[in-house]
Amino acid sequence: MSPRDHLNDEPIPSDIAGVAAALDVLAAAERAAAPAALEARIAAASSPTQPPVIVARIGPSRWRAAAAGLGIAACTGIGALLATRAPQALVAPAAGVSEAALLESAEAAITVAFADWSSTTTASADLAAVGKDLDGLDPRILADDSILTEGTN
Amino acid sequence: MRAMTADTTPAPPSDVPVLLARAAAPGPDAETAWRELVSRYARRIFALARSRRLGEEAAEEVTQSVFVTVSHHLRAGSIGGYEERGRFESWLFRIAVNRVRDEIRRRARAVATAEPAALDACSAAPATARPADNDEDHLRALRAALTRLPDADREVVELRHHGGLSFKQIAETLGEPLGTVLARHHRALRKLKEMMAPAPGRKTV
Repeated sequence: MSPRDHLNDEPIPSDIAGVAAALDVLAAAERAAAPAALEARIAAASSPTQPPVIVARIGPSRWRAAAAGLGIAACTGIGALLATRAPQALVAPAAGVSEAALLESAEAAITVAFADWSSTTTASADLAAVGKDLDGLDPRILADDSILTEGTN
Repeated sequence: MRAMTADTTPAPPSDVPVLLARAAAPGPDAETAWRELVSRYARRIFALARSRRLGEEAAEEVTQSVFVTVSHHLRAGSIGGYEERGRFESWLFRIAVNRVRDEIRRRARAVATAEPAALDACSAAPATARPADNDEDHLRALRAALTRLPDADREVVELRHHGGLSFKQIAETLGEPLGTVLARHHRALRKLKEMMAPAPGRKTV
């Protein structure tokens, strides 16, 4: 029985049915490998009942994207550091913190994270320049308006 | 390749219009309905993103941003046209496909502009957790073969298997005729079958 029989879908030709079944297994493994708290985190961060504080909806990799925009590739080291700082931005709306305080907190978090990383990496010279740029960074740009659109393509 | 069994097939969502209405309405039930919607689709979108070699964090970020977009439309009252189940799923996965494309482009730009020293400090995306039995190698090989497909064919395959969409929904998601989607899927799977063709002495798919 096909996994999508409930969709009243087109049948898969028998010559490729084995590959289709293997792909279903691969997809199932990807779904099963998702973090245990995936749904809870996403539901909390995207809930339509929460205040629309954009920066509060940004996870660690979006912070890394900001770094990428400044010329640094996303790296495991910086990702781990940012992951330890970003949660404060995610919990702030539920605690009733103002948007201004949230932005201030986010700016401090990313600045400290980059400073930490730059002191421990061999690429510190490059990061020092990035850290200088970050001093004047408005955390709002981290929100990246594209997340509120259906994409650009 | 030996026979393998899928263990987590997406459940058929029959009450999506009701859930959308509940999530959009003011009141304590909205949060419950929203969580149910996220639970139904988050892992399917996450798997779609992971299939494009995005790391776990990036895949979660893409998934989150998709739901932020849906939430934004719900709050703005502009989701009415998608309340029919099939159309909602097509719309949802169109957002997901676009967000994945955006993320891949963003990463390509970042790699192109990164200093060599910074690149040296980077590691590859973490490996996806795999079944602990001997199917692991086969899944890894299949995943690698997927990356060698043309993008257009690969998207059809990923929407079909990782996203769990019907061919009709894939056609709506990509804005392509149903016949084109079916042809791409068939062509892609034949290519995968060829790429996965075993060395002498091994079983075939």
